Amino acid sequence: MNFNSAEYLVFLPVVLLLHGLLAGRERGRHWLLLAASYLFYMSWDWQYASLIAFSTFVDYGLGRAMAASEDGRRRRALLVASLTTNLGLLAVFKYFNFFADSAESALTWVGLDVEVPHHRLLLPVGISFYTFQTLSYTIDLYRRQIEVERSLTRFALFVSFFPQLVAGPIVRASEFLPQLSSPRTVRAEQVRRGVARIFRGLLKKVLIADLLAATLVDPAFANLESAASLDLVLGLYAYAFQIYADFSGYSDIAIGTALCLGYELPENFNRPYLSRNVREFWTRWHISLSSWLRDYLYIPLGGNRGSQRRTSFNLMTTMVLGGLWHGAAANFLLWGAYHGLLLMFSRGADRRAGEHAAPARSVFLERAICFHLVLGGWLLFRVQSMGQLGDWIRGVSEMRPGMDARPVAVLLLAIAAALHFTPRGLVDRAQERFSDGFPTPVQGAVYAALVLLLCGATLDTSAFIYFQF
Amino acid sequence: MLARYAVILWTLGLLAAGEFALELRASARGFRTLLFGAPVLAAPASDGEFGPSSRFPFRSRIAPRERRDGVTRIWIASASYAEHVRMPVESIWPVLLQDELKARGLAVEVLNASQAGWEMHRSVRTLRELGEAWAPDLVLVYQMSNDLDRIASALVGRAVDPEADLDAIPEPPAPPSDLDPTEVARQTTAYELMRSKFGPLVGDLRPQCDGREPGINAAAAARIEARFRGVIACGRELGATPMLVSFATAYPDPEQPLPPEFAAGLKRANSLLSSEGWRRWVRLGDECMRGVAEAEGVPVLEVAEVIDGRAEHFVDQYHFTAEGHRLVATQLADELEPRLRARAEAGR
Repeated sequence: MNFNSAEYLVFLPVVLLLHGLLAGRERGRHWLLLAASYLFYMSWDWQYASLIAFSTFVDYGLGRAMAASEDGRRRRALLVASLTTNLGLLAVFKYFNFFADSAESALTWVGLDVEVPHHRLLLPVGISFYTFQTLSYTIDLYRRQIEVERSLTRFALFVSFFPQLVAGPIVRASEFLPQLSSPRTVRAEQVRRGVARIFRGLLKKVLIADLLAATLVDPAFANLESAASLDLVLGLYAYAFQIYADFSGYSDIAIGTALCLGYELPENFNRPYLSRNVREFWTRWHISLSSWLRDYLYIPLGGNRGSQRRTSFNLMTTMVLGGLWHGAAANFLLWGAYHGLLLMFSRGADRRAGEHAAPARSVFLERAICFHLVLGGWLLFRVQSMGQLGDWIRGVSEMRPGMDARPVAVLLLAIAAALHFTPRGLVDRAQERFSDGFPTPVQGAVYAALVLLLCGATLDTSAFIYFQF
Repeated sequence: MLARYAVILWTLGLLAAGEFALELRASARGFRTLLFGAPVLAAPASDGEFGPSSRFPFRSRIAPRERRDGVTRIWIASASYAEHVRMPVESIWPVLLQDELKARGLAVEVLNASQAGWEMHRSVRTLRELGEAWAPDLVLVYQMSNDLDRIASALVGRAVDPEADLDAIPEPPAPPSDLDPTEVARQTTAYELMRSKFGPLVGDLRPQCDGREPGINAAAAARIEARFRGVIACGRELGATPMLVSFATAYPDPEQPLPPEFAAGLKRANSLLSSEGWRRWVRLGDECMRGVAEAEGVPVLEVAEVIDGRAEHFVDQYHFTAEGHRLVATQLADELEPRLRARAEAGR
């Protein structure tokens, strides 16, 4: 059940109305949301539910046991059990075949023709997201940064809350469990703002991400061997804005949906292409993942507290694992390593800048450089093999003449870029002015018209890019 | 409590009210709608005379399932060009063909197994499902544009599934549940309207194939030929004689400008080929069809000869007006008459 589907158009109002009917009965509301979340998740494949339920029971039980113990060794053993179980599931479902393939290739390379067994299990939707979510719970509990959750219902709801279940934002236990423990009031103004946010996300997804994909990105990347150089370059620029609109659109819908239910989810994007360096980019792009990696991986590895070499190692390890989190493929691994390198250079440049007088570079230039460095990463992210990467580079360097892209599609790309660079406050204020200031029937009419517009503009109901992770 | 969700209720209420109003209008104009059902224009002239019905799944004059001696059964494997639900059933060419041949003293029954959107694959599946029970003597294949659309989406669009085996006969999809929201949404008039208004605009944003790329054309030709071969083989498996019918369009010349409403209609169906490209592919399809017909020893009935390029007989690029249907029926009758008489003389 995609957010941009007819199913969700029915599902959400029904859940909201039932949620409203249960006002004042928090337990009832939790049960309702839990049932709705499992229903939502099972709409992809009912079998996936057993996996998320297993993960929930394991971490709930380990959390209770950890809270009941003061013995440091026992607590550590329980944490290791949680890490092993969750990362083990992730390894089996997401990475097993990748490592089996890699092992097979390595063995073939040394002259051994060995067939490494593979599995045919489907990758459960959103497994990377909810695994990181449950891990944040057991790790924070181990660090004694949060209280144990004694209600299985609330814990299960934290793990499976449908608005952000399959593609984030990754919500930490410390952010969400306290919200579940206090009664939520849903006001009309909250619902209006939530609906406005949902439509903002839908517009990003359907009118920007999907259209850029259909008009510039997919034609260029489907035709790497013969596409004109300009089409290949345009396709890459368009992909930068497609992936942003797609993923931030999803986050907008998730945040808006949660708001309609009385919950607050963390912001996940803050106009990332305005970053002046790659370090800043990672505080603006997929914020919930980058902060998770920082707090649960980079800092525990030692962060920047050790030598320069150690810090570089920590950065590279974090980013490579962050790349692998997106998918079990060489291009994601390379993408992570590429960003690891960029961060290492960025740190080095900052250190040198501290020793010498800073060069007088314009903000614009810094942003342009940073954007193009990130763009290089998106090329690694978009291609499906190293062969495709080579085709793209060859296609651009051969300076193939012509351009198949329609001028209107290029205009769409320009609009997407302009919207991204529009001050956030301006868009937020306009959205608030609309949701708070306009009469409800007018808002309803505008949303009804938008639903129709989105139906017309939808080429096919395409899934969000981050569902695959 | 409801006041809290007023904005959602208003949105849904206005959508429902809008859909109701659009359906009323569409129904009055003769379209099938979700709430009001079958179009008025498509209703049979008199009860029980025409299918489709539960016992006669064809849009033509009802005939008994049991074969009658001396009667030749003609199966029409086609799509919207022969189903044409917006045209009164007694005015579509399969029905007129039967009337014309009867008027010429030939005993025939036409089984119009055509539905909007069907490709040759779908025609083959229907032949396999129903052919044995209805035992046709001749199978007339009048197909082209839907196959081109599908082939274009694979070869030009490529985004879908470049490895898909397009030449395999697809399994019938599971029947959608009445409660499937996507299915219901797709049947709403608002959805149809928006798709038809915005679809061409969105399609215009894509780079389009002009039908000049030899590699793609060769791949398309191979697929078109495979499809014609498939339907011929299926007809023969049933013991019927397959015959191919040349495909006619309003503006066949790729260099000729297309009226805007015709161009928009084409774009709605196929946003990957330019209007020039689409017409080049129709020519390509015609060449493929003739090549297959020659190789397989199958006759080509020349409909295009009499109506191709006569735009006044088309409501869009490939659907006929009432007069167009009449011309097609007459031409087919002219083409079939000597063959049917020869069959009768041969005692078949």
